[in-house]
Amino acid sequence: MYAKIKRTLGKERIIYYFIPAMIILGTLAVYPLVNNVWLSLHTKAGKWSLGNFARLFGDKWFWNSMLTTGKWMVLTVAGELLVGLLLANLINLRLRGTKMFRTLLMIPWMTPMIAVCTVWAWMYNGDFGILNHGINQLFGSDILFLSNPATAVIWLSLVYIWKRSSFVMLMYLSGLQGISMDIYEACKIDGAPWYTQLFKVTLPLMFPVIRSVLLISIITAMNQFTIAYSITKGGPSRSTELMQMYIFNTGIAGFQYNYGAAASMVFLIVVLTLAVGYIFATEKAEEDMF
Amino acid sequence: MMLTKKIGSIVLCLVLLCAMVPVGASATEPLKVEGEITVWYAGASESRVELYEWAKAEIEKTYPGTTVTLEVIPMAELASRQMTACQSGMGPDVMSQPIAATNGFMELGLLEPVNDLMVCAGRDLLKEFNEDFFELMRDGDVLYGVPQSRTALALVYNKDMFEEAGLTEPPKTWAQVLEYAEKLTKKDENGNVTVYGFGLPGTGGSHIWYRIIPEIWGAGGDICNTEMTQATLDSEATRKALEYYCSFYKNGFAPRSMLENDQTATSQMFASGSVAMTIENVTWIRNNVVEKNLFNVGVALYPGMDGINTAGLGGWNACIPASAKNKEGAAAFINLVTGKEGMEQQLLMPALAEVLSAGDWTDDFYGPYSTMLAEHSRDFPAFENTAGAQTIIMNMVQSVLSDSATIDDAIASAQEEIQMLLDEQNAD
Repeated sequence: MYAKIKRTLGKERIIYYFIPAMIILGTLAVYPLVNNVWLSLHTKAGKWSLGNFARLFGDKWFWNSMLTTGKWMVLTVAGELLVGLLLANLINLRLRGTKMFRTLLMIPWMTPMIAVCTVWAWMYNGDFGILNHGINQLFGSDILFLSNPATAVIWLSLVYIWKRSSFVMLMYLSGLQGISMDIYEACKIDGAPWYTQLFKVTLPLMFPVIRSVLLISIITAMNQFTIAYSITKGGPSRSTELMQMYIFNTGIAGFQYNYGAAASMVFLIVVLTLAVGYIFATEKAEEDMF
Repeated sequence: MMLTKKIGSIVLCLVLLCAMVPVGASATEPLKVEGEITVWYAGASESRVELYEWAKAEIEKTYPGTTVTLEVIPMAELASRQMTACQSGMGPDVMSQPIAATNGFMELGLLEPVNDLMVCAGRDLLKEFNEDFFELMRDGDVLYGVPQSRTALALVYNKDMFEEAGLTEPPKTWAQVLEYAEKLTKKDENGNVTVYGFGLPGTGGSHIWYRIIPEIWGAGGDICNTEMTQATLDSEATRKALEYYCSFYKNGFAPRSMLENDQTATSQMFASGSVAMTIENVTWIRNNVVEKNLFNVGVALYPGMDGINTAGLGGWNACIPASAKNKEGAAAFINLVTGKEGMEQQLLMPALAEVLSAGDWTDDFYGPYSTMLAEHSRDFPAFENTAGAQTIIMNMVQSVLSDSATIDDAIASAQEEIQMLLDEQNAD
């Protein structure tokens, strides 16, 4: 028995090098999580209570934020996917100037988010914004981008898509470049048009990459805070108040730490459920495909 | 005989000692200033930074061996950092904080009473300051902070535009503000507005709060009762105030980007000549318009429904956390920044009555601000969750501006939410 243990410990030696990092990271990640759970289940006075959750589920603005975050996620993830794939396919054509184009495309991703938000806020401005002025002059319309509660989240999502697409494009590009050109040569010989190649060859072979990138996109989108906070501050009429902003407004700015902890716990469960459900669903789809 | 004398002497000594004790207790011992004093403040303006640097130098000169550590905390995270630090017992010795925050800290027992400490520093706070300034930071006779600065908003206007429009004096009532706003709004040949008559913020919780609540007060209403148990937002006064506030946008006298603009953006439009009048504080206007000599700025008392509005007080307090390690050093520092010499270095209005009623503070520019502060200002209700209350009010205004709710529905919804906030506050 002792010899067996000794053999096992000796074999797993490589993992010992990870233990210090795991301890530190675990403490930094686990302690706040445990503390958050404790806060959510207690009142300010330190008494055990489910009151925070009861209040949360009865708060119409909590549900408003959930719905807004859901809309935000659908818009931004779909937008990133489409734009990222399109750009990746364009870059993959390897036309003249592609390298320079690819470098220029990285500029949005490299620009600090707060700078992006400041510039876009001014571009959208109803009195001085270049977008506002340009589009309304061109089409004779009277759009106030960030003043309409029904559409403000759409315009904000454009900012996010603009910022993130280049990063997503890089991921898809690496997937595209992993597909052997022989397959496309074979398709050409068989006379397959470009859309058949795209839907029957490219996308299926890229599925593992798309699957991973989509998961990261979903989680990142749901955790977005800066854009809504900087540009619209959750308005107008709380139509762009994403979940992270709701948690910040109630838990941090409002000094309602216990309530904010409850909101963040519920949100964590939602995101985890979504992520796990997504992984299982796409795993099945990938198995069926291959 | 000898024994009697001895007993008599002992008794006499005891009597004298007993007599001396009350005398000793009432004698003010000077502050014992030594060691390190940590100060957290928002370096929101250059003058504030200069003031604190000056106080640091003075303390270190007067008390050799004492070091003052100044830490500038970004404004956006000041309150939350101070709250977290105080609750964990790791706070500084001196906290400079907006007046809206102090009440919350006091209610949570996070602040040190300052009465005795400031007496030791040679101060009589209730004599030196307007007693109203302590409203939200006192519990009976116990004071929990020292006013560092106070502000009250006033109407600012572009005198050159007024002259062009043939307006000789500033508006004094709502009706006049609306009339002037219409006259001052200019359009070009294509019908695009080039100058808006009146600018108000359509976003930014605290910015809207500071400009709509006084209108509600001016119309005879309030957000809640004095005991803070009942929301009173659902009233005719609120309806009138909300209608008035939104009417500028609805009629095209306020910027069409109003829903996107907080007061800073609105003031920037004022400074650039796109807005003729707005409600703004002294600091911003002085820094960004007067000192840059952009145009002639007029300042007037804050017009209300039938007369002068009561403005809500803004400003800063200097407080000592209950967990401070060097309370006497903290008191010495606060004594400097809130004393006469420190107050004279203030850019925001000085809270000290003696300074406010003299010199520049009574001229054409500062005079209306001083008058608003001295005669037409009051504290906002002390919500524990001020940020939450401000968000509710902001949402109420935005719902009407964006036509996503009628005035009645917006007010009813806000009333319900404010009541919930009060119920939570009172349940604790």
